[in-house]
Amino acid sequence: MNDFFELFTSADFYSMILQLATPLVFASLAALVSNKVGVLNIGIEGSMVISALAAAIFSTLTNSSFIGVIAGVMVGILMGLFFATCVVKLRTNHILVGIATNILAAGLAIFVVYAITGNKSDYPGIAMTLWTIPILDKIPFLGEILFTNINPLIYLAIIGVFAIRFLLNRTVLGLRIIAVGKNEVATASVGVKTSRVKMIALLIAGGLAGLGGAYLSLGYMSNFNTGMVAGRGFIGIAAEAIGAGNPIATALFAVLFGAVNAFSLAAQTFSTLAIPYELLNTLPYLTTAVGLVIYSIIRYHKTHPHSSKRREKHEKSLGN
Amino acid sequence: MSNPILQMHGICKSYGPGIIAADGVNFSVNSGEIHALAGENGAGKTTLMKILFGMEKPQKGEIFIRGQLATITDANKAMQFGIGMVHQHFMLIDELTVAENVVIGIEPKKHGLFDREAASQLVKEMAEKYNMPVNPEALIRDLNVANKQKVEILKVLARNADIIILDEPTAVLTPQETKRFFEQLSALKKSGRTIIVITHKLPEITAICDRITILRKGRNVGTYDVGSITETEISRLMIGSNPLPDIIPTFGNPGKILLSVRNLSYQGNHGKPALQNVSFDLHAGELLGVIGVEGNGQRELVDILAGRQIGYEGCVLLDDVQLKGKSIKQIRDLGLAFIPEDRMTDGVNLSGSIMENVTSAIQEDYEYQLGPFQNQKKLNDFAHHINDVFEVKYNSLSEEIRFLSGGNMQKVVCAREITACHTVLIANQPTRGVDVGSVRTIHDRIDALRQNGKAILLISSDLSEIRSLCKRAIVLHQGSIVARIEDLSVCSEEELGLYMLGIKCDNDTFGRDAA
Amino acid sequence: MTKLAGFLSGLKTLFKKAFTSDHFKTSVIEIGRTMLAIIIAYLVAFVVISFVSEDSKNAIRWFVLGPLSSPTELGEVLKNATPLMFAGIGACLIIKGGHFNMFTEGAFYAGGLVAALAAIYFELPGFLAIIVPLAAGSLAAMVIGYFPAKLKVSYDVNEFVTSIMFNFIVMWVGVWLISNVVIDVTSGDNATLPIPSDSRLSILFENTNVTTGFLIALGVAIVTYLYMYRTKWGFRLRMTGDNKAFARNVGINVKKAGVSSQVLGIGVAGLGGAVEILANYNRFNWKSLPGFGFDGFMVAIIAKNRPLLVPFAAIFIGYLRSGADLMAFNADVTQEVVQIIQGLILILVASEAFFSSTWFQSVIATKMFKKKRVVVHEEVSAHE
Repeated sequence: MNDFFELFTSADFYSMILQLATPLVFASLAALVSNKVGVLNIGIEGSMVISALAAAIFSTLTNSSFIGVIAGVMVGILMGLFFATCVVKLRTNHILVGIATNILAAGLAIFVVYAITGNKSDYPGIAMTLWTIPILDKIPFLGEILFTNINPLIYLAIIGVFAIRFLLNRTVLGLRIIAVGKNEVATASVGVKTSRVKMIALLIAGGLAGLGGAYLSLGYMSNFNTGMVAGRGFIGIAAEAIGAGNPIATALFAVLFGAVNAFSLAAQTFSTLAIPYELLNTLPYLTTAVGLVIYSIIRYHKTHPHSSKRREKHEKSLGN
Repeated sequence: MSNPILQMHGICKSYGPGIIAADGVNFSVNSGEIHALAGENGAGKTTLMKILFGMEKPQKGEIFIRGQLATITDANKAMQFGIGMVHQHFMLIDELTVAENVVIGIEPKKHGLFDREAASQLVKEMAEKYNMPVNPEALIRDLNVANKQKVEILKVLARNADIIILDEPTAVLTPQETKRFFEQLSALKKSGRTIIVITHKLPEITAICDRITILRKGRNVGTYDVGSITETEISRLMIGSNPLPDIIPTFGNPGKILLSVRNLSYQGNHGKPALQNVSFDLHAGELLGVIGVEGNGQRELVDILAGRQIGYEGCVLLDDVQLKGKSIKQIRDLGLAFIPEDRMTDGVNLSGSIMENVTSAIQEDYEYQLGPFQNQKKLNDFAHHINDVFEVKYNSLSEEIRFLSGGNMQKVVCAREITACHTVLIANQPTRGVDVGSVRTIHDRIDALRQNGKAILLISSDLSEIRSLCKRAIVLHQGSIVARIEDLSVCSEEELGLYMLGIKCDNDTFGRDAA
Repeated sequence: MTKLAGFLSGLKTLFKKAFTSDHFKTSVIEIGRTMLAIIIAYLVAFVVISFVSEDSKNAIRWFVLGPLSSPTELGEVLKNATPLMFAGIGACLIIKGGHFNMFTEGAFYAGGLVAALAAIYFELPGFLAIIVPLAAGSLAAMVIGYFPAKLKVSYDVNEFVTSIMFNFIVMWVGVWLISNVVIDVTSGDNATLPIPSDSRLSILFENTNVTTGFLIALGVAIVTYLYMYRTKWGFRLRMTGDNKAFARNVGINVKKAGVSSQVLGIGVAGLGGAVEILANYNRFNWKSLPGFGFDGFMVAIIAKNRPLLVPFAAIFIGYLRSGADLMAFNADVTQEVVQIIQGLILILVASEAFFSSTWFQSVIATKMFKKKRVVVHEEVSAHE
């Protein structure tokens, strides 16, 4: 019990949550924008891998983490372009393109790392400089978490949530994205170029995924490792599914999953509770699955109030 | 006084070898008139207008608008020329508001952002000007059909269309809503606009249109002033010879009650009850018609009877067997078959072969199995046989069904269901979107089924279909039976229209008398 | 004389019918597209290899011709193809059923682990020493995979995400098991005890590493084909996958069909894992997911979701992999280049618009197709 208490009252734990949540938030926003335009983008995982690698490579080439981040975003957009071209122009089934993207990305990453370094898994990156905001960092507890030695991409993630919400609700592009996603035929019938809208949305999603990848290799760690994304793209997709199209809810669920991840890592050091680290590692995935299931069941019962089992129960309860 | 605002010359369009939708069509419309484009299903009316609106490209031909040659490559181009089209199936986004639907594509902006207030304002102003009141903030999915159509028209007007194409605009309106719609059309005409109405409803043509062009099999068989041609002549030009005589229903004495519905009520998903206290009997050897405008409970009624919907109140007996709680398979095993309203999504498997589609009702039957496997030969024979009986035109059984025409596809569905029917058949809009020849085949087979002692419930929004096949009918309005008609031949269409709208409503004493 | 003429002309009409039938023509076009996709992907690979390698001619030669260099190498192709066949067949069942359940990956892992454990801890005689572990592996996979399947069908839970989560969970639990619970501490590795030789599958061809697993895979392909296209259960599965509303209306229990298509597919994948372990490993030591799950979907797509074509697609991918392995061994290019090719092929083959757009088909096809073709335009709504 002591371990738990210590953990939940330490500012470091919450910093960790923010750090682990950030790539998930970017991934979930990417999934959100894709879903709004009607495409389930499974390739976010692969995009994050390649973006992370690109960020690492360009940061070391230019000795600047900033350039690295830019490179990560650009590569993410390129992956988005690839995905969008296949889905929109070549009309390939989006699930298959997503699967292909992930296969391609995984192989390409190892290939490039090997070609440059001769080893098959790691590539160094220039770590990003952390920010400390004066005055605000003096706030007790919160100051430590939010304003001391914090990676600027974390701020960007928070801003991103509101930026995406603004994009969807207040801009013409946002309206068209939603319209295309809900009813493409109707939107096309008034002359809106739906292919173009889809492509733009998927490029935005690619950029967001790129930010997620760049954060992983330059912020969370300071190198690229071929296994570093570890399903985060998929967890982001799950968070978006539960958030049901609402950017803020989506981000909150991403943070929730990040928290579980942080907990599973921290629990490995518990002295009172000795759970093997492998089983702790299943926690983020388990929580995601359970969360998705609970959400789906609730949603199901909302839209099926008269399903037969409930009806029989209802009739029985009325006393025949 | 001819002042052509639109001229289409020599339009040729084919969808592949042998399928000619437009065969050198010349079509000309005068400025400020309401022009009917008539013809039966498949004559080429919609294709011609889709070409005009840029949704299809002709292989040959030219279009002149206001005397200028116009190359219309897509909807945007068409709109630039002032052409707007209101499609038969609404192109509206349910989850967005009226204002958003109207301005999408031409959104007003303020500081680079979407200006919602300006959009709302625009809709309010236009609605007032053209007498089409509608709430700009309402969500499309909460609107009824007539209002949705208003939104479609406002969409077109917002883009400054002065040539407006309407595709079967009154297909889903009640007689009263149709009258109001005609008034709105007159207002539009007075404002100087030119209107082209695609229709095959003769009464509408004579009521509101100035001139009429008739298409048959992709050719223009004549353009006339509406005043100078009779309905019979129009009909003859549309069909090509004297219209096929209606089946003269030979009604014997109905046999025992095969389907008994008592106090059927169902809440539905839209707040108000979808079905209220519906009761009727269906006898063997009888064709009972269910009349009503779409959306008054017919769909729910079919879903409940077929077993697709549970959670209702009331009692349904099929040949004295309770249907409630039974699965679709169990109900079908009792001999019930149904022809669904929407063949594309419910009636056929578009990716499947003709063979798979036509045999799907019997695939599980014991006599078609050979151990763990299916008896392919027997299935093939069955498929060949009933396709012949139903006069389905196809190349080979293993061809994918989506290559068939609408009429042939429907014949496949009917072949499957009518053959699978051993007690009761429920036919929901069985000939919608089907060409005249196929309609006749389907009607013949339905009547043959009736003569064979089965009971048939015919649900249709096409009054002439019901009148040609049924003697008895019930009228559904807002989920209740508002009229029971023992003999359709003595009931006028006016009266039926009043019932359909709920203006007239009989006191329903069914079930209180002795059977 | 006339008899011969009659016979010849009969033969001629038969050939004409066969070669001009719509079915044949579409098949030819389909095969042509696939071949073209493969050629393009190979060309891209050549370009990439030339960039990276100092001796690209050597690398390319090993890549393209290496597997043909000896019977052992050819055997490697078949050996590589075997797990892909299982995964591909499993994916066919799942895709045809209308879902995208990726638990085939975890199924492979779980199937292998359970098969190994069953072989080690149950002492069984003769035939049973193989059958029981295989069945156990397949069954274990089905039991676990049942959950994402049922949840999707009953509550519309996104099975893609849940199955991938399950993959990771199964993997970590497995790693924990082989590192702590069933570990053989004498082996110097986190692995199980050795698998008894009675349970090992025997070599099929001399001088190769091809085992009877290959035959089992072929058998499963045939059985799956028969199931899907010649039985009423397969009919239910396919109709449900094509159009759920239609399937419901004709009385099919779409819930049962939806679950069984996924569970069966996962069972086949589990069997694949079991076969792979019993064939090629003397202990179970997988510490990460083997990757066959996703590959299986790729194989299925290339095989157009047809079980009888899966062996061909799998052998082709097996060939690709062998070539890449040989190239990595004998030249300086790493074998991951294969995944680039695989991804490209997958996309090209799966693209509807890739060489099936009007300029190709309408030009050649309308010349070949002299019959009437009715294309329903207005009524066919966008179905994606």
